[in-house]
Amino acid sequence: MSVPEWTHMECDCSIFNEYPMTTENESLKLKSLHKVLESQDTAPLRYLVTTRSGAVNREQRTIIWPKLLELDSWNPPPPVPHLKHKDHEQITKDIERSFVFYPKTSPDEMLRLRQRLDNLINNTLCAYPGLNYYQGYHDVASIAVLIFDDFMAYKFMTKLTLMYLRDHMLPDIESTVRELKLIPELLSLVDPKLHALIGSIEPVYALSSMISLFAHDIADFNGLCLVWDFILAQNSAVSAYYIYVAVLVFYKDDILNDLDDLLGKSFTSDDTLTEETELNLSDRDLIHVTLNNWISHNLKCSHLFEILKNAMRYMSDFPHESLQSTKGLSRYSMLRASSLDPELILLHTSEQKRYLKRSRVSKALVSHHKTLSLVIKCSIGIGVAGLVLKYSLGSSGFRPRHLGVFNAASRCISSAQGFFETVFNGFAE
Amino acid sequence: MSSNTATEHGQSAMRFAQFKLVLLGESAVGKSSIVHRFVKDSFTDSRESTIGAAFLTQTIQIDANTTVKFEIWDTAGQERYRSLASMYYRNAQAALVVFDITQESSLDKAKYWIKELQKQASSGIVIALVGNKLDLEEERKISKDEAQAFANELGLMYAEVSAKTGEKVKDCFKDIALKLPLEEKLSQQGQRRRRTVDLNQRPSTNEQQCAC
Repeated sequence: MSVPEWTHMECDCSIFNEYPMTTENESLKLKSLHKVLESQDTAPLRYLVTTRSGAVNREQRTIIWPKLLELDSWNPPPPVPHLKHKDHEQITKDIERSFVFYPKTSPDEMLRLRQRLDNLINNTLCAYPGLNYYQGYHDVASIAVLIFDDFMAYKFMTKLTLMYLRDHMLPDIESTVRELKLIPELLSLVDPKLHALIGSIEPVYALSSMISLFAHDIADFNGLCLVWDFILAQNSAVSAYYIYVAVLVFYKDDILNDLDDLLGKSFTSDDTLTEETELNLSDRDLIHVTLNNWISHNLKCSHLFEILKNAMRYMSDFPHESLQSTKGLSRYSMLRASSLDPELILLHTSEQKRYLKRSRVSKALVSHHKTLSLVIKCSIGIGVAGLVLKYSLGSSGFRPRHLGVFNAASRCISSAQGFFETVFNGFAE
Repeated sequence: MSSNTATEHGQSAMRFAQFKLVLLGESAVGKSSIVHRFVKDSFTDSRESTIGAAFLTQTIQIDANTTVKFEIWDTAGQERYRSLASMYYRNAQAALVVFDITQESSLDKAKYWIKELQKQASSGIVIALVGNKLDLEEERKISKDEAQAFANELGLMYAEVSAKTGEKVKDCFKDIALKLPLEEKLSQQGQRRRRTVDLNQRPSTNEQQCAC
């Protein structure tokens, strides 16, 4: 099927971006979506889904999301009934606290939803060895339960997990923390002024949004689905990071205003904000809190389309492959390796273990080195003091044998130094 | 962290100080529920899991002239988030280490956190060991004597509360406030004054309207 001409238009120019959308245009968009769904090529669909209103509604999403994630050719291992994942205890605790914001439903229906969620999470985590559960994964899986039937939810989650979440599922949180560093780096490129203020804050404030693909923080179901339309249309896990930065930049003035109030400084003024802006610990805490709460407290769904459009622009202006933070990631990371081979999880895990072991050893070496350098400094200090004393006493008529005690001390220090060097070398080997 | 807005007009001057308080403890022991009971005087059986950390503030009056504001950092309980905790408890002046009186393992986890706080947190930190879910007395697995003895041994405050019924929750925070070095904070003159922005406002879901 040939690609219709309108798919080549710039995103901004589409009639489907008009606001508010007329009923006529909405029905035209639905027809267009159905048309492009027939195509093997997903490009026209990806384009249409990134116009205002995204994939439109739940009904469309049940068909469109599998297409965007290319699930036709996806064959995960069949689920093993009654198998419980090693993290099942934690999973159970979180499932009891799931579906908090939506849907508003009867207690019986809630029980059924939670049972389905339990099965989905267990089946998906058991599908591939090496996957660990994290709090927030249940928020992601909840969306799959609400959109799909059990069969499709499993197909969707297995692929989504390998493509968009697997780096957060290693035994520890280190790889996630490393990936979060993309946020300040991107911010430095997109908005150096905002970066000057918040760039030095550990980007852990973005943790819940990034690991749940915003599901933990956007309490409006339709708003969240629109974000997912965009993420899935980009076909890239890194798009979530660009969206996060786009949120910060979109609300920059509000953020700076709040920080003015909280910190009693004037960040909104151009003169105040420089690279040298000094922040004490409590300032840093307040910035962290403000950013951490931003999406859940302040994001308006009516702003989402604008934000998502900006995110797409940042993706093309500042491709993640060129970022230092991406280069610093493991080659097995979902942000670098295009392969979805589940073996990558295990390779990434063992690489991570080796890395942590190395950093523990080098920390130990650094502290060992400090001890050694202290010994050397003491030894030199005593030696110099000895020489000075020898010189001054010698010139005032004292005989050198009075200095025997200093020489002996100096010899002791040299032996101690030799001992430490031996230990140090042994340790380094 | 504190700000002193005390006026210098004799004994009737209002005194105000702000302190950072962190909650630590095993997953699902009720840390967030305790905070919500204290801050909003509300409880729900299905409170969402905390990821990373959540923040709320609440002020209490400890006597006719003195108000203490708590800036509360509520943390995630899952083991994998443990390495982030130091970021949250650094420069905290108080910590609530919470366990669930019906879950034996949760006291061990609380002991772990107390040890870490004593090693890594600010030296003057006021630590309270808090047993939650007092409303489930018939399912109790950890005796009050055992937990209290542990707290006494380490010189910690000890409280048992129910976030569900609200029993002893406010008392617990008030007791902590009374133990905080208020005079020291108030005497730190020259601190810059801060206007306060309410960090507690989360819009209800219908305010996050989607106009897409």
